[in-house]
Amino acid sequence: MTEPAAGVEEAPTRNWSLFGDSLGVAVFLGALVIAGSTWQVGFFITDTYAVANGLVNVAEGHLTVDRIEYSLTLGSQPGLHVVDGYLYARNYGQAFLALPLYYALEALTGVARLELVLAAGWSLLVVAACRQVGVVLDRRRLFQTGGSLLAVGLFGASVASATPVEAGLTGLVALQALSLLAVAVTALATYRLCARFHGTRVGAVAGVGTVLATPLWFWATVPKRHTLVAAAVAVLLYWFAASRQSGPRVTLPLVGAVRKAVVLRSLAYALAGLVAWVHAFEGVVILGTFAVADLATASTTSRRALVAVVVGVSVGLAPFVATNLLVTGSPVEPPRLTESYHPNDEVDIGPGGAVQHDVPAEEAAGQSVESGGGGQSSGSADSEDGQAGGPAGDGTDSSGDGRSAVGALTERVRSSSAFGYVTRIVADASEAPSRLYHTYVRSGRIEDGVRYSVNDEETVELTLAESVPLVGALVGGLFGALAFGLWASWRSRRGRSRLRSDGGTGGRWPAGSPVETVRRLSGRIRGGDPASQTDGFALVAFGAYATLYYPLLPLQSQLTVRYVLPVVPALVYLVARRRVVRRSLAVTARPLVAGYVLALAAGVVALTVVFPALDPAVGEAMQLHALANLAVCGVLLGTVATTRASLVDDTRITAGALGVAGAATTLLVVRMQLVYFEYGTYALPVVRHLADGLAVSA
Amino acid sequence: MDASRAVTVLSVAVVLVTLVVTGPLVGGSDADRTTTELGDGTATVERVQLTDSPSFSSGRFGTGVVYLRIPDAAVEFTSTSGRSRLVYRVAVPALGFDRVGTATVDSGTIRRQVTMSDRAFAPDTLDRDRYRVNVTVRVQSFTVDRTVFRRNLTVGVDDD
Repeated sequence: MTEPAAGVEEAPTRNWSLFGDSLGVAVFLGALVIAGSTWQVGFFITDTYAVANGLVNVAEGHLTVDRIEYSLTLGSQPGLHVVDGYLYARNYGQAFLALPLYYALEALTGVARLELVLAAGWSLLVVAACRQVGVVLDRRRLFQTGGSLLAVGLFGASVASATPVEAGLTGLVALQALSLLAVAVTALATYRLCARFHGTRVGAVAGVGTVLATPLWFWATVPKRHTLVAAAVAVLLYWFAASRQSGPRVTLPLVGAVRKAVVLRSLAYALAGLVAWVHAFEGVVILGTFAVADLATASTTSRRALVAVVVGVSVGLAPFVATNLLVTGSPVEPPRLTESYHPNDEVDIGPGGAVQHDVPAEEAAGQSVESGGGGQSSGSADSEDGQAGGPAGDGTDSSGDGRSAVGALTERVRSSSAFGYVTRIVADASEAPSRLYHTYVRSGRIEDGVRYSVNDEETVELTLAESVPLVGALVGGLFGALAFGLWASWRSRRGRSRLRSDGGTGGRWPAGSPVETVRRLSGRIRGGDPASQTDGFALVAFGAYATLYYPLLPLQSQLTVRYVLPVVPALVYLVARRRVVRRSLAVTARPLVAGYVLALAAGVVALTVVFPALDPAVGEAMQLHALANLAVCGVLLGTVATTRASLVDDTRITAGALGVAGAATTLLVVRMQLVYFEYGTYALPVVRHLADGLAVSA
Repeated sequence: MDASRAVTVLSVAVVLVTLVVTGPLVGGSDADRTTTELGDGTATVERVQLTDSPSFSSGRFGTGVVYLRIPDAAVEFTSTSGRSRLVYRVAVPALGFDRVGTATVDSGTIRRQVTMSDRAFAPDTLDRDRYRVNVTVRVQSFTVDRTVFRRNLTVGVDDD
């Protein structure tokens, strides 16, 4: 650990560095190494096929999916859409962003085997990460030498035990690499955010914690949208925090001298807009929440700043709008909202994966019979309902061919998105307690809303508290503060009434009009300190996500409530902001690290002793983790609450409990990747063998 | 350049050179990558044993399902030649359940265990007291396909 630079602000005038400092580089590289270590090259959720096919086709220079490179079986695949007789993928943002990685991998597979490219890349990252940790600890030589030798050893072992990966899987691997990068960016942004307010120690713990103590690690190499959006949220939080003070003037080409804050805000709007390219609804929600939080707390709303905002939004939304125009002809109708492709349309997929148009009916029927024999699904959690993609993602539409864009859009909006969404929330009000309980607290077998049949009836869907027991600190902090506040106010009231026994305790606030109240509130928000304002944004973002997905959750294949994964960095930030948590890290991170390491060791021992005796099935194992994690969450909640309420003084207990909560998640996500959900070829079989040796995967 | 840098440069060079040498440009053919394929081998089986008997039991820890607990199949060989594989099949026709587990057998293998995970059923899908469970183990390759073990068991659902 470096010296805590508590409260030390980065040099304001020249610091445009992405990483902030050497510790930031270490967090970034460490996140890549950790999250990459359990990489499986494979399709975990079936609609990834469509996105990977989209990527391959985009690389060939067209948006239409003319060639199916990847498929589970012949025929349709979830996430494939049909517009005017042409096939499109559901998500082009992800495909375009992965394009540079795809080209790089294509070039590399020309000279090397794909599985060894991954092993080599990871080994080089190990060198870089070790060196960087050495730089941070002022032991560069030792760490660099050790890291280099370790990396050669790991690579040698990988070469010896590598399982071949088809060179043609570069499309999938590019998407996975993009997702992995997104997790590293999330860790880095969380580090910089927390370091900005509370010094590098809190920052480093939070940054590393986003990987080790949240399910981001599990989703790092599952190329869904969630990790990308999580990275966007983390970066938005950082830029939001960094732009709450107007900062120095910087000179930009074409624009001239502007405040740094204005530039950051403009960038943030562009980033929020870009999210729409990946997922329209999440983009709208993030853009909306960011705009509300930003405009309510902006240090300046000059005309120049507003122009910057508009420019940012326009630039960010441009790719989204352009893609929509090219695919659907409507700027606001993304491919995801078009009809899902089913075979027997006028489009068919030939045996070689070539997409054929206007196939005669009999031939098409024959084709689909032939392709109908889809093998028995072997993995768990490998299919996703069309509906699962988003509140309005249900792709079944009856409007057919002769639909006008506006008419179809109106119908769709009414049937599925905003309108249907609100109706669903209102209609399901009575279900709210059970829904929320099964989404955030305890899973078990959830009878309503979850189709377990898609995952072989295995009870593998966990709640947020079961997968991120760290959130116990948030709730505990709240309870503790509440208890403390009540107690303090009771004491002060008693003291005051003793002083003024004449009963002159008149209202402290003059009863103002509602307008006055709102104005005062907005003034207080604007005048608040940047950290509290960022807290507000984090809370609003979480609330928005919870609301967006409320009608949908709990849902099959959510596993770790992946739908709210994008706001998990916000939760980590909020945990790091609790006064108790900060106090527990004020002097040293040792108790936290000790709690983490000891709990991890205890967990491994428990696994080796208990699991062989219990011989649990996948669902049982997941629920056992869930119960253990829930208990850990409860303990953390209690610890933080009592410490916050000043009933306990020793902050080492809180630090230890935080470490234990992190270890509980680490154990869960590592086991999920190495044992419970084996869906592909391990890119680093050496890690798997090491885990076997340590009996982690007994 | 200090020693640590030299070590790093050397390590990186080793990694990159290995990468290229094993790659398609330098004679790294795909021939040696297909050794996991099934061959023309055969195997003579000494003994086949299930590690336990199949059973139905309620899922634990709040899973709320009924599991068909499937034992592993342990096979001992008297002789093996070439590459063949074991095909372990468990089926419950009344539940539409039919699953196959495989394990490759190389020449010289003495013992092999084929594992199969338990299968969960939603409680309301089990409407009988007992089910017929068919278990077979076959030795299979391009030249042989021999059933070496067959049991038709009746397994009760312990209702609790």
